Amino acid sequence: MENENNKEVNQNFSFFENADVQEYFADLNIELLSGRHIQKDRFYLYKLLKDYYNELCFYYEKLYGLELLMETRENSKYYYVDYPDASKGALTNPSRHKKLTQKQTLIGLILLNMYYEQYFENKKEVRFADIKKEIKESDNNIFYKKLFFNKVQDDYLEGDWSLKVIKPFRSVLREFNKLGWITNLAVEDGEEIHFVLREPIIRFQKLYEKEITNFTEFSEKYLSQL
Amino acid sequence: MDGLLKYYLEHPREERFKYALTDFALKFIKLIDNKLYSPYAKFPLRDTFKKLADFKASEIKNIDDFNRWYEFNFEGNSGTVIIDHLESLKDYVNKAIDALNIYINQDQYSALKTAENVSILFEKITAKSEEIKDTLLISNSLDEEIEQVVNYFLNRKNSLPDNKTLTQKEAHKIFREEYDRAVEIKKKVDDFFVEVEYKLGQLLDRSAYASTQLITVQDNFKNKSAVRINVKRLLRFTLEQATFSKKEGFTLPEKFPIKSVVSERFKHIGLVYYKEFGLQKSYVIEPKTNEAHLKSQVLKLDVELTRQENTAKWVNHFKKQLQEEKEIDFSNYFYDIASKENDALIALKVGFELVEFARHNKEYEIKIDREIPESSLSQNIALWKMKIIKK
Repeated sequence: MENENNKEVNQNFSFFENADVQEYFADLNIELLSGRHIQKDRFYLYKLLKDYYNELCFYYEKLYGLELLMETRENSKYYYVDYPDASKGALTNPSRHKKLTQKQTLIGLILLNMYYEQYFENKKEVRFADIKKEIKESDNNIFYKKLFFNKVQDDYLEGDWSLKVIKPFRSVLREFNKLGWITNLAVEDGEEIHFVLREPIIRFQKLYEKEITNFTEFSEKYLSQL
Repeated sequence: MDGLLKYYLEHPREERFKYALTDFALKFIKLIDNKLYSPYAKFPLRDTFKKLADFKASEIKNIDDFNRWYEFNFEGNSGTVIIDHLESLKDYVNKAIDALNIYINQDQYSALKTAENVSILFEKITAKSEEIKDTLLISNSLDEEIEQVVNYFLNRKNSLPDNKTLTQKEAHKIFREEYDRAVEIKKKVDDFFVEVEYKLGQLLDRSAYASTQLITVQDNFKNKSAVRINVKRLLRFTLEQATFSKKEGFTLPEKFPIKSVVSERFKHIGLVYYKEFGLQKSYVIEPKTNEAHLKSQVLKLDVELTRQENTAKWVNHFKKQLQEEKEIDFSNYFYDIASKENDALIALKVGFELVEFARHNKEYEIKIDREIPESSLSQNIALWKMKIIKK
């Protein structure tokens, strides 16, 4: 058995004969190809990735044309598969990869921002009250209010919050939960939203790395095209 | 004012136009004051707790002593002090994390100042948590003493004999209640320390994480800060670009870059596994014969058939006789049939069928004499005298 630090790896598929691989590989494969980012809490899958990292890299590269990546953020490691820069590998067919929706992109950015707001907190919990505060009181409150409610006022009816904020957030959170970017927590006392932002939310930042690193250049170029 | 007058305000005696706070209101203010300013946090935690740990089981002579110790010394005194220290520790941790959360939004000079302030807070956090940890160590010896007190009440409860007098039964009831209360106090003290340890653990985890993050960020402050600021700018930019319509929901202009993630869909379909396809064979299972049961049933059937056959023979015989002799005294033949056939049931059936025959036939009459003849007395079945007469 080799691990991710060992460079001497047999570039073949003989590792499939090992009992632990046979037991957990099917689950791991489904999770990775579904887009999930895997962290320590998925113990057996994480262990498999740790123990057979190089073999699995070879497997995904040869059979799918994908990269198996490992990243460490805030002392926490996570694994996921991604396309190489210029191609979508064996998942070129549109049914086999997924563009984030515009709603997911927007809410993803809000969540990434919230992650940084709580950067020094070990458990980055978010409740509906935090989202409400962000919309009502943050520096961006005017933009939020215009976008979510189409009018700027101090507060809104409960039904409006439910329909215009809670509903879209919940549908995005369900998807992000599947990707491993957040973990939905048990809701208490009639709470509508309660989740933890996980380190893999940084993957969203990575998707927009070019735009974030060169923001001025990006925004100028983008506006000139409109 | 009327509402306040009931609980919070009162007129001082003989001064109808003045108002004063009630004792309840003063207590309430004290409660809020304690909550806001944690005054006990200023008390030396180690010393206060050491006094509490000096508690000796031998000092407890009855349940009132133990109740008093719990309510005044533990709950009302040292317990409050430790909770206030914990609250003030939480306050330091929150302050440190709040300050750090804006740290990477700042320019390098302000960030340096923040880091300095936070490091002072971290020193306070370390000192306070050490103090709380010490009290948790002291709590071990306290736990042993409390265990002894509980055992004392347990032994007293068990000291009475199994067969108790009425007075002993009364005493046993009281001892049992006292023991239950002692156990309850022990549980409350245990729960208190478990809770303190858990909360302390949580606060220390938060503080350790924040401190590690600070070290990592300090190493790469410029880069981290630039990313943080640009994430904020990208969010604002995206909010400016986004629109909402009922039909399409949230939309971004076509030129806005939208990213892709790997997403192979998996469908799990559960199929039943068949070894062969085509029409399924239907198997007929041959029933097994239970020979013994079959034999007994055949025998039963034989007996019944013979009985019916013989009954029919006798009935025909008597019908003929009736034609010839015009009268039959069946009671004379009954025992004869039973004896010849060795089956009283045949005799009964013959009699029954003859009666039925005569009843439904107007040419015949049945005459029953409700006297049991002497010949019938010695038999198992007694019979009235019964004649069938042809009119």
